[in-house]
Amino acid sequence: MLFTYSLVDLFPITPEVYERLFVRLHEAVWPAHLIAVAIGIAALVLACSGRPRAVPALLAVAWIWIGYAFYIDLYANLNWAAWWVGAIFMGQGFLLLACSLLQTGLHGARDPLGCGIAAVGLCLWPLLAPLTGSPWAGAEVFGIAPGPTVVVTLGLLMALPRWRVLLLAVPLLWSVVVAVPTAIVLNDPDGYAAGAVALLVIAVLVIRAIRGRSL
Amino acid sequence: MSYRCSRRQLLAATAGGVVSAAMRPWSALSAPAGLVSKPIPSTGEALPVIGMGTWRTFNVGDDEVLREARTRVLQAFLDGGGQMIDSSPMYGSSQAVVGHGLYQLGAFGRVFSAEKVWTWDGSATREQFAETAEEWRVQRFDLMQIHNLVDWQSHMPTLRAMKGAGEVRYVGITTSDGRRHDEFERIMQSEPLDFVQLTYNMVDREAENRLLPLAAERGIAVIANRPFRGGSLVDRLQRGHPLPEWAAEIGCRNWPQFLLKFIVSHPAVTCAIPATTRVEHMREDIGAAREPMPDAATRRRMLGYLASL
Repeated sequence: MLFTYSLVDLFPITPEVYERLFVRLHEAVWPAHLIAVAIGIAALVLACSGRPRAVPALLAVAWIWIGYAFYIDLYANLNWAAWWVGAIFMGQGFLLLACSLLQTGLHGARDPLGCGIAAVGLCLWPLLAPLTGSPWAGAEVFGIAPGPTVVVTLGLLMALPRWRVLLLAVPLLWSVVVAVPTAIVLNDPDGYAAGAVALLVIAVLVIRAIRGRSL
Repeated sequence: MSYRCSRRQLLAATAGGVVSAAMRPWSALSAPAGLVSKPIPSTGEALPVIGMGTWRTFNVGDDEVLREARTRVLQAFLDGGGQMIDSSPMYGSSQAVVGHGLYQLGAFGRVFSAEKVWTWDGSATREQFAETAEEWRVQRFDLMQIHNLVDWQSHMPTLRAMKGAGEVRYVGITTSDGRRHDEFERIMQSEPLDFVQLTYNMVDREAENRLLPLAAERGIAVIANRPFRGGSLVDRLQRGHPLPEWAAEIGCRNWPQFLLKFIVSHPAVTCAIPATTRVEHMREDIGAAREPMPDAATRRRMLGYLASL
């Protein structure tokens, strides 16, 4: 019976409602964006300077908060599936926190490409809204919205030499299973961008693996 | 940020709903003058041929701005003479937004409430009914349908019992997008149904082959969903395709009315349920419920014109 449903059936809202989710979220939590961006900058600086130990913990704050505040508390009222996405987001956050607390496999490493991807998610992602005709009030920001948070996470996890395979699973799956369908059904350009970043990350990791570098 | 009304608000709203329901006799609404209506075969009750769907359009959660906008759409629908409002637990917060709008407009006694049971737990029929009633701020529904045939064997006996007890007046089943038609047909053949809801529009006409004739034969009312294929049909036609001049002969001033009149002029179709987020579109839609309606020859002409585009 489940297989008789189509992609549109999984999104019981209009693009207008989805866009206003971010507008309302921003109105509700401003000026928390400043804290979120500060966390993102701290994580980026630590990762790019070869001091990644606290990076997963900083990312964990964003993942846990978004899982609850955006998906479970705000979006799940409109789409039953959002509760599950929120739970997975929070799970990813706790996994990142555990990684940081265990301090296992975290040692100095720099990945310029990964840092570049993270910088795009942190600094350029909010520009997608005005560039695609959406209001500034709905711009997606790291630590507040899932899209840029996933992209920053993908970039920073590329810089970590171990545990990456486990920690990359949820961000990559989100990009393919949630972001791209959302982009298709709800006309959300951010979703296409997140999907493109995920494909880039997968391609780079595969190439590196083939060439014998560690994942 | 989740919507939660206070206990005082909920009690007041429920009281309002109970009072409205008590004031309106639990029987047929009278058909609005000037609006084309068709009889529900099982009772003869007249129903305006244009109703309102709420899939996606009314699922706005606790966004006060959008709730107010949807209440205006609901007002336009009711002011135009519309009666049937169709919703479902599957539609997120649409039920609550409908209930909110009806409460704001004081309009509980003006609608034909069409709801659905949508749960794979066959023992939860009454529980979900109660949840839905709370969202609408009512105690009973005119029509309860088994949504997409989900666990219909379990829900059907319960709904019939509820009909016998006066908690619902009509019982039905739904499907959409041409899915499950074989099973749908079997159920129509074997179960006493008041309503079926299925997809029927100028492009998706599979139901004409078996289901619509069967509905007419068995005396089952038909609700046509997805009259505009989620809006894509109207969008496509409005982009550079003129309405034929002879459309004015059947009172069509725009493509939505052209599409809707084709649907509701089928002898077996009782009602179509277009969904919209805009007041002006709702006025266009409800405008399709006025004479003249196309006859069989005009319907063929309409199909021919569409095919030529």
